[in-house]
Amino acid sequence: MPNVNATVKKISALTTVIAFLIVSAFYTVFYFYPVGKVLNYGTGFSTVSRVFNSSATWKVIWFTTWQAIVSTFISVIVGICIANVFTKFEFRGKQVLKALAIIPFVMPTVVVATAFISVNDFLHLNGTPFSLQGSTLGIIVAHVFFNTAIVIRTVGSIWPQIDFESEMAARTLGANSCTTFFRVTLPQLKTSIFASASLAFLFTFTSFGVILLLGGLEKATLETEIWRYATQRTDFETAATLGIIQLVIIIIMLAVNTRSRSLITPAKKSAAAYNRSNYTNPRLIRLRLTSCIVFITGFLGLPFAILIERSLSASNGYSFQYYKQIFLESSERFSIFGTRRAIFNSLLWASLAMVIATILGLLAAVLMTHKSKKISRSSDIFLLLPLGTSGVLIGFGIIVGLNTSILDVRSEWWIVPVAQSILGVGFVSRIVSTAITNQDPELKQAAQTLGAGPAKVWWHIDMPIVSRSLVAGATFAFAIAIGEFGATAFLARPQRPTIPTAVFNLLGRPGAATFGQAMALSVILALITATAVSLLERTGQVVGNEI
Amino acid sequence: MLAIVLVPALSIACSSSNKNSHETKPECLDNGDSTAITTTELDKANASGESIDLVVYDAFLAPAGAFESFTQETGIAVNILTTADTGTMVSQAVLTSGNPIGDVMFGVDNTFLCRALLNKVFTPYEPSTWNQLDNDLKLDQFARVIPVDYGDICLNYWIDQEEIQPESIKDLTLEKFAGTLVVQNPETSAPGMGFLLASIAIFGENHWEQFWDDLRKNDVAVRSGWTEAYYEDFYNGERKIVTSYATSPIAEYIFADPPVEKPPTGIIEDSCFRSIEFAGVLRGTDSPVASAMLIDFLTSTYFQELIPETNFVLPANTHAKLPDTFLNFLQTDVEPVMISPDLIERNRNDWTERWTQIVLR
Repeated sequence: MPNVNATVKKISALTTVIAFLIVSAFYTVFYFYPVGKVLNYGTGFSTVSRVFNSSATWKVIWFTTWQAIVSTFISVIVGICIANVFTKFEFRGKQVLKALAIIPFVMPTVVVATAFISVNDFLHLNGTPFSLQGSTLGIIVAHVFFNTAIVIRTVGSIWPQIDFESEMAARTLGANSCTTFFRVTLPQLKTSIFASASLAFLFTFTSFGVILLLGGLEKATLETEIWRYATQRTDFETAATLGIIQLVIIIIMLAVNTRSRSLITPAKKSAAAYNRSNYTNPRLIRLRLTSCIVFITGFLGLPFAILIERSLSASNGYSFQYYKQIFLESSERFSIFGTRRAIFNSLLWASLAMVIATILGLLAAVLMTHKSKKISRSSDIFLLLPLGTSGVLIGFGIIVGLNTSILDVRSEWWIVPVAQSILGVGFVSRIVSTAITNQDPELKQAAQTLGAGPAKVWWHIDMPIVSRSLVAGATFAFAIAIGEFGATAFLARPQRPTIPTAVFNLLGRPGAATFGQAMALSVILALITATAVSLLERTGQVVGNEI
Repeated sequence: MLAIVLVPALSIACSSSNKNSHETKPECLDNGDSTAITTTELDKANASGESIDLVVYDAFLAPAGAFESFTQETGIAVNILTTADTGTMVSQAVLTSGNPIGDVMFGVDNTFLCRALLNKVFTPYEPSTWNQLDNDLKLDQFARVIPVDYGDICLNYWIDQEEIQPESIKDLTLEKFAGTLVVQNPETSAPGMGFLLASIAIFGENHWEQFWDDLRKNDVAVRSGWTEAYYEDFYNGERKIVTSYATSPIAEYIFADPPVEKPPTGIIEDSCFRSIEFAGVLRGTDSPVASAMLIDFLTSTYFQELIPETNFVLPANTHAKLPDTFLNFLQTDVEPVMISPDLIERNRNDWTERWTQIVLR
């Protein structure tokens, strides 16, 4: 036995070292070095003191932080409610609804903003306190719209695996559904809730398009200010100083997140002691179910419904003519947009980015779940930093940084999927490490005691648990890439149409047909994503069940 | 045909001389410090087989087959590198000045020109087409940047027989046009900046703020970009007047669905700001000769005749023929205004801040 233990230890140490080397090399080359080089512009004393002495800076910091906290909080609550329904209830159309729930996450911001403004007009909200345009409310609602999917997916990938028996026990002993949820279910979900909250926070803290399109520059955040100084004013010093402030706040928030996660202790065992007689009301369950479905279809679905309506409404009633134009690229006036190639390119590039992010994310998860608290906690924070860094600074960093006399990779074709996967790694590793932390250590020990080798243990015990969350993570890596979030807009990239760039170019030219095609192409983006997500999900379940 | 190009060009000359009342010495257009690229026939032949990168802003679309025919002719391959908006593209070029991401940059406009020149982004090269290019567009006499196209940023309105049409920029502050105008924020949008500059040139340093104050009282709407203003407010008729381009009515005609007989929109002729787009060889390129040949190509009549219908701009080469759609529907009685690039560079931040105070706060 001691021999086996020694080999196990050796192998796991070796895995850690390899994972560490690969992940840190990737991050150093494509993130730390380039971003460090750009942030260096912001360390001059005069710039720093000017930025800190300006009252506008503090106003921006305060607004950025509070809108992100509020947006995250609401996204988490809404996401948990929806994940609950998906986990606990079987109903017709559940799979479809589940796949549709991710659509908001990939929609081009400009399309969503247009849809929100239509909702605004549709419900006559303009001029009322509930107006979504130019208001903080609009920003928060849009953030909840985009980020609820993160919570649904992350929490939803863990929920089916938690210990239902303790829930049942609590209920049998008379705890009502509320008590059971808060004392038994919630503690078991907390890692995933904190994980998704940190992801949602990073997204809302650094969100760019939503702020600019729905808030305008009056509602400035650190991200929009960094963009304004770096790109419109060519003032890299101020932009970089703001970038440093942004990173410091992100590091503090992530540390707080990791900390508070370990402060909450599971109350699994004590829950059974609760004794209050209150039986579940079936009408209450039905109410919860219906309200959830209404919410998904109403709030998450309404902008999408408006989009579909617009993509179909031609001058002479409803028709598929814009879809036809996209696929046929019939006349020369439309061929410049390259819509058909855009669909193919998007699928190809997003798949590539997904593969890179998934492999690296899995390796990163090894570090995040390392026994040593120091390694796991610091990698926990460092691996997520790209998601909390201004896209402008990552893009500019790559442009100034990755250009040595030996190797100039700034304008290589693969820099775009690599940059997209830097953001995806954070997602994959966060979600996968959550699943690994959540598993029952006794199961693994039992297998080892019974003589299973480390590879066997990993394949039979870790893998099934990991696969589901790996798929959830991969889904986001794919979605980030196909929706083109973050840094990639600020790279110089080969002119090759993708769906978001084609939508951008169509919406940049006047005319009924360009507008109609842009709407139709956005619907196609949504459908491709939903299909890809449900295919991935099915694969994950098949892998998970077979092993 | 010549008249179309010349009429607006003459009026720039007038208005820009009016505007240079700030008699501060122009810095960026005044010294061409680096040596120009020269090419011989032998150099050109040797450049065959090279591959160069053309950096463009995100809205630029290459005309179908254009660069392929350049490659066929010269043996030089062209990769088009798309960046973001013009401001971002210029900032990237400044950040990498002397060690550029590509070889040639296309799309720097007169509002960002001095920023690029002051940071020594370009190497001078006088193309073989130089004498065919409209003289009024050659803002840099040292040929560090070469004009490729121009266009006017103008207010557009829906042509509606029943309603009263706006005829002048001065009409906008009248009560009958209250709540009809949507513009873009000049800090986030090129047409937004163009219209702000137009108002400064038209009303003068002392009165433009009053104009915007009146516009605000007349319920002007402000959006962050062209797309939002055009498609969210103007397109559905919620706002009748929008800041767009002089060529937008032609695009409305070309991309109409179903086809229409004439453009459904028109432009307010005295509201226009002349925008010129330049190309230049990026300083530090490894392929100066191939880059120079690409500049020749971009200003050649072949390429110049292709860009109007893909990018809705007008050719800088006076020998280029306009497509029929442009000959038929381009409004030619426009009197665009201009402000010299170094005046823009010096005052840009101050003007936008004052604009923000008046219109948004």
